[in-house]
Amino acid sequence: MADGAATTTPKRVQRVGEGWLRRDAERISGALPPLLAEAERLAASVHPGVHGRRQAGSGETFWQFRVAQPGDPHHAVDWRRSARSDHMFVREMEWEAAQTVSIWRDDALSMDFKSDRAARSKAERAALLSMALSVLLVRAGERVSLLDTDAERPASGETQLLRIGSILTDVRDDRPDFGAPPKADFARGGRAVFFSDFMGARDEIFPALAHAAEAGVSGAYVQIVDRAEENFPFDGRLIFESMARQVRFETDRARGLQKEYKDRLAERRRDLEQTARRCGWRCLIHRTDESPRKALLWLYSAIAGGVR
Amino acid sequence: MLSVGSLAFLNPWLLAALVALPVLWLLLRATPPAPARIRFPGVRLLLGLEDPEKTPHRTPWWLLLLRMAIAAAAILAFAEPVLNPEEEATGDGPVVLVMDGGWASAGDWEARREAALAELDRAERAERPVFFTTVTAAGPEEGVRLDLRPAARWRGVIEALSPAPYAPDRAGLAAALPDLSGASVVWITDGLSHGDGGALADALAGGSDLRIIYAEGTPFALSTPRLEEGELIVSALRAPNDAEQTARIAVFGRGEVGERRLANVEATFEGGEGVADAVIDLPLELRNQISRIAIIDADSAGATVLTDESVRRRRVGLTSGGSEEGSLRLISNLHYLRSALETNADVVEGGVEDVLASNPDAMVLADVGRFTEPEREALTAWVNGGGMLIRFAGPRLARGADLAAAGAADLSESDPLLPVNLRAGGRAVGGAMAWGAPQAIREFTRESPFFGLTAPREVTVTRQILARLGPDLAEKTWAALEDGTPLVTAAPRENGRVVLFHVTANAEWSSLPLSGLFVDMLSRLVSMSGAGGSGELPDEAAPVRPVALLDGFGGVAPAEGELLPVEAARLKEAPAADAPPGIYAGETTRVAYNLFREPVALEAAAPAPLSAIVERLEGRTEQQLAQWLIGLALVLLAIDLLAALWLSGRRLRLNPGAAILALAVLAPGQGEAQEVDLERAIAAANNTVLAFVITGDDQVDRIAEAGLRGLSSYLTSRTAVEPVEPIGVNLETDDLSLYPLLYWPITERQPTPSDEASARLNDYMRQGGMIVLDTRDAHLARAGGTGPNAQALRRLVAALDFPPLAYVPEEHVITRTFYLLDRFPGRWTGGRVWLQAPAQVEEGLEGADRLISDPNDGVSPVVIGAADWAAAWAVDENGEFLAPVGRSNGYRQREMAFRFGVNLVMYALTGNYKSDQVHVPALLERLGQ
Repeated sequence: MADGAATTTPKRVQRVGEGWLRRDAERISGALPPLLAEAERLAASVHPGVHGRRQAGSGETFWQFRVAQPGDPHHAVDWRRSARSDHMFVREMEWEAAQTVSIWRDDALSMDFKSDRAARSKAERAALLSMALSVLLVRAGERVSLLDTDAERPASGETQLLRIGSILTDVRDDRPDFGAPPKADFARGGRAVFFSDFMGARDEIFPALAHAAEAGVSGAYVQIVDRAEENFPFDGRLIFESMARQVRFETDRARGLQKEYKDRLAERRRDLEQTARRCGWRCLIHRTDESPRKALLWLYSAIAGGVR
Repeated sequence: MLSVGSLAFLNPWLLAALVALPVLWLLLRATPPAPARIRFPGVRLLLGLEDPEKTPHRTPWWLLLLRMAIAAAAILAFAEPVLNPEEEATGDGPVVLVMDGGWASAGDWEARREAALAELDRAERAERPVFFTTVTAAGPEEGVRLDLRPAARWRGVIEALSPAPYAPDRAGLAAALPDLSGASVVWITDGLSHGDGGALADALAGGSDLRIIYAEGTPFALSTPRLEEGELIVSALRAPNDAEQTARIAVFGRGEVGERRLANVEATFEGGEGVADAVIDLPLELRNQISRIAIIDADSAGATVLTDESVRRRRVGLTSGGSEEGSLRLISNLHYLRSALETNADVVEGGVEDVLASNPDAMVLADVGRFTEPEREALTAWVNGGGMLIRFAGPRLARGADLAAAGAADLSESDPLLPVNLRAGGRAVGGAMAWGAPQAIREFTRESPFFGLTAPREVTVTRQILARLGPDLAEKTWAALEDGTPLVTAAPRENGRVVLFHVTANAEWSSLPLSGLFVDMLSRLVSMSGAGGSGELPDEAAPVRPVALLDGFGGVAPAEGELLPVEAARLKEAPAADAPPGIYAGETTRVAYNLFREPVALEAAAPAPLSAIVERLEGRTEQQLAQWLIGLALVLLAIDLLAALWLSGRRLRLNPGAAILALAVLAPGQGEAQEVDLERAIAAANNTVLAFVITGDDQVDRIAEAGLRGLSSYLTSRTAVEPVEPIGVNLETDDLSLYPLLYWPITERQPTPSDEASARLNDYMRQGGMIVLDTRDAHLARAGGTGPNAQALRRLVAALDFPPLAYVPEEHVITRTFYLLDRFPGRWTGGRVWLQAPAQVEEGLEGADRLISDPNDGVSPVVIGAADWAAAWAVDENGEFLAPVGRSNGYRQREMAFRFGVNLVMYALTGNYKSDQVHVPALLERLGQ
């Protein structure tokens, strides 16, 4: 645990004083519990269900006894079964191969947007959903990776969860204005979930989506939007700026643009869904004032359903 | 200066800036309000969109209009607009400002002063020197020097000015004025002529230009009240005009404390009239008290008259024909007269000449038959001069009549001192011309001054003197008997009058003097008299000095002695600076000296000279509008700010925190105070608490609290009463019902309780509460008298419903409720203690009835003393006494003070329980049976 934390935030570890390991581990993990706890609470509401391969392999569930062959290690022999007959039997477990799920959480500045009435920013909601999904998947024995971060290597277990948690709660310094899915090396046959607002430039987002599809992964896009982004409740003379002020747009009467904005937003979503359908992906639009559980259930069934 | 109607601008060239407004219009149009910046991730979706409307680029027309209005208001404000501007006088010479300043200016004095100050302002703006004078100001004999000063130097003079109580001597000023050529003259006048004939206007017209400022209408005045036919008449005066006006006149009289209003009367001027009479119809007793009559709301010396003896109590001389010595009182000639006249007249008795010397209004001759020649002459002169001679018949008069009848060869020659010629021989029951029965008095006719009186039937006449029949007898008869023979006859003699009662002034001939009618008849006669009044000054050369003087506004103030006495003859002329109106006293008389002795209409001023500009006083006040315009511009600016905010999409949001804060500031500590009150009330209700009234004097309150604390601890240590800490109560706000005893130290500066507080104190007393009033001044009281705080006490408790009070009687229950006491000392000894007077137990009221008649169970609701008990009881926190008591250490006195306190509290708490103890033997006896 301390090891995982130390790798994600190497600068914070100072090997001074007695018991530095424990001290720093607690300090670093101190930031996790809120997100982790919330994510676990959310994940607990989703019941994973059975997830076997129906063939012998490494697993925890009993599959069959078979007669021991030469080469089987002696500790594989099930002595209790063997004692009932003259043959030596080996106990075989069902093969429970872990699925690899790659999660990409958009941490661009645009995700920090939070309108006046919203309780959470889009980034917070994305982090929560990512974490909760990770918890669910790890519980189910899957391997999870967080793309484009230190936790890019798929892994399972609590350590990976903590690593992901610390990354999600950490804030990067050089964040771009808008995010696009990374062109990472996806594990073939794996699954992927992209959390983003997909508000960036068209020619950055869609090639990246195509790349993921070409890499042989399937999965889901979750577009997280704020209520204000959907309703466009502005009026009067305004200058709209992107979060990093790189993009500007000035209008004299914002109300007049409402309909056209909504049209454009619908168009973007249609494009997203079209891409998803073509690549065998699925697409969810999640608003920050909706319950995260709804999105989590949908996601879990989308991922698991794809597996079966 | 530029004027447009009633509006003018002091800096008109600034108005040129208004031309720039269209430019401003263009400028403002070109500048849209600054846009707000909003961070919005969806901005990429917006890129490339076109605004559907372009209008918000321009400032909305109404905002533009608002801003133009702001600019216009500012420009107009700086141009210094003036409403009702006064035209700058032409020329640059000195300004001569003249005010009448007499009594007629007093009614609208403020307006006149404002007008004068406005003239000063204008002169100041034009930097012209000013000379100011009032017409009434006494100028030096050799003439008025034109004392030119800067306008600002006169301001104080004008502000301190008040009107003189007499008419302006315009002719005098006209004569004294120097050459005014080159000066602008402004004359603020009252519109009455004051008999100047236009002399001053002509003199003032000698300046380069003359402006005359009048008031609308002319003031009212009052003439000295006079007696006509026994009625007191006062005339309101005005300059005749066609309007019908009513003057409301208030009559004031001397009361016990000060002046009080006796009556209101109205005098209505018909159109074209200058004099309106009003009859003051008051009982003689009240009429005699009249000291001042004034027109309500006129507030000037002319509309106020003071009265003197001439309308007051009459002096009546009494002379009897017979000798008074040795005769029995009830058959004395003068006894009934004296009794009848005493109440409403001064009575002087003596011989004819002695009485005349005292200058009476009326003279009563009871049965005087003959006069010496000097007497007759003096009497005749006095009657002709306005005296009223009232004669009563009698044996001597009858004999005189007989002689006259016998001696007079010519019957037509009549006695001037008798109203009718008398027939020789009287008439009596059983005489030569005997009546069958005594005659009663016939009802009085309308012509008679006795009209309205009723003659009781039991008043009968048994004997009378008869008048010779003559053509005018009926007309001379004021009262007659049933058979038509005259009882009272009268005849005028020049200014005076002679009245004859045909019966005696005693009860010998008739029962008239025994009846109330006699008193009424005499008082009517006396009130008719008085033309030869005692208000006249006997000697014209005698000096009289002013006692009380009227000021210009009609107020009366005692003369301070800065005026020299004047000769009495001076008072026959009009008042002026050397003799202002007021009350003047000679050696023996006091005379009211008023502005108008005769009811003659006032005279309006002569028309102004043609060269003069005539202005009205009203509505001439300049009003600077600049500050209003600036204010308007600021308000508009604020509106503009809000509008701009609104336009730029920022809504104003009410911050709830700020609202709560504002509310908290607005309503400070309400809840807290109520809570404290409630706690106090609970504490007082659950315990015995002695309370004191908070007087507002810290020292007194402190001593009162310490005193009650001391008494409380004394009570706790010696009796079963265990009071807690005393409480100070505010009479205006606190609930009194919780306290059995309220100690109220009296201070002079205490505010009088409001009506509500008094009502609650009354309630408190009625419900069984006890108030202990302590004037704390026994050491200052004169022997047996009251101290200085008694006055304050009277004022404070004026509205309280106290029972009849008496000194604490011996054996009173308060002397034995706990200790046996015979004195009640506090810090001071002496000073008596007052309580409710013990009720007289009425016969027949027993048991329950008695209780009902005395709801408080016989306990006095009030105890009044002066011994400063609280100071004797007062202890500090350590139990040390605060105030020294008595001489040496005063141990005994303090002990007695505490004992009184214990008795007092016991009395308040147990009521008459202790007094019932006297019945114990009887009760025990009854139980034994």
